Amino acid sequence: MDKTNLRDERLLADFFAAHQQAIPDNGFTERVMKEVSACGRIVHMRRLSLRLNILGAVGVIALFLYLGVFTETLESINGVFNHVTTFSTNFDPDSLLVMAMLFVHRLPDYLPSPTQFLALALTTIILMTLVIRRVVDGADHGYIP
Amino acid sequence: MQRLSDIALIAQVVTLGSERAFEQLVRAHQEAVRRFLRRLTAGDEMRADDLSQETFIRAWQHLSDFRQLSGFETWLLRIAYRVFLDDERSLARTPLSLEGENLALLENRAAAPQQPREGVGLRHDLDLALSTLSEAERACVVLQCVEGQSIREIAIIMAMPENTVKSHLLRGKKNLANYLRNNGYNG
Repeated sequence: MDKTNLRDERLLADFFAAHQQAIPDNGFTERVMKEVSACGRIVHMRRLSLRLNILGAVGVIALFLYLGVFTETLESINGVFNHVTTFSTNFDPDSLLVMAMLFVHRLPDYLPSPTQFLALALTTIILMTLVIRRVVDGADHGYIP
Repeated sequence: MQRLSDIALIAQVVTLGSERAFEQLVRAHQEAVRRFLRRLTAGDEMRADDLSQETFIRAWQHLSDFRQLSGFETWLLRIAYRVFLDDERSLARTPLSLEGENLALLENRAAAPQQPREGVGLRHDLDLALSTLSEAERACVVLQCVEGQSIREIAIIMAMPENTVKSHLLRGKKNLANYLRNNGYNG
């Protein structure tokens, strides 16, 4: 360390020693602990709410299974697919695939998050595959001229 | 060196969720955190205390993440510095509006007579001198000269390489010494 630096160090040490400042608590700790307690209560309420939500979701699924709502829903979806198949006899599977790819390609412009985009892309591909399969099945069975 | 009592208290907080143990930690370290934040906020005591409070709440929420790689005080000061930077960013984004509460506050301040308080002049000098430094230089100088942290600890607190800390310290101290000499302090 050269002379100038040493002089600077000494000057700063004297300056900070002269400006040393003790900060009394003055109720600061109590204020912090009040906030911490409130924070703890919020965390507890959140955990409780999460547990209740999970319990509720399990209950709803059990009720659905018991009442056979899932089977009904699947049958409805099946009906919708059948309907789509009869209406889409004019499309060939290739154009449906191109449409799906275009849809997936343009979608990111309108969606906020990559996860949502991925979920929608997957759903679209699954739906389009199902439709194509139906169309192909229909052709095999001679429903489509 | 990690204080043994700190480790015991942290263990109590993490394993038992003891608020009493955390209260003792706050009481033991409030001075260092509040002093550091007061110097960073150029002596704004109210803002510094709000930020200190936020620091301890974050510490409470993330105490289980404390890995004892550094001292507890170093860990707290690291949180305090991040809280300060977050606050600076949010202040930069929010323009001050002179309406409602803000206007009333300014009017009250202007109307109230200034009470001379003990040590205010000295603190004003200190904050004035520190305000001539950049944010990073100020933090480095305060951490070393006021809080007595080592260069390694400052690097941990400010999340920057030790060489960067060294150059901030060198520049900061040189500028501060020049400012003090130009303002009548003898070296």
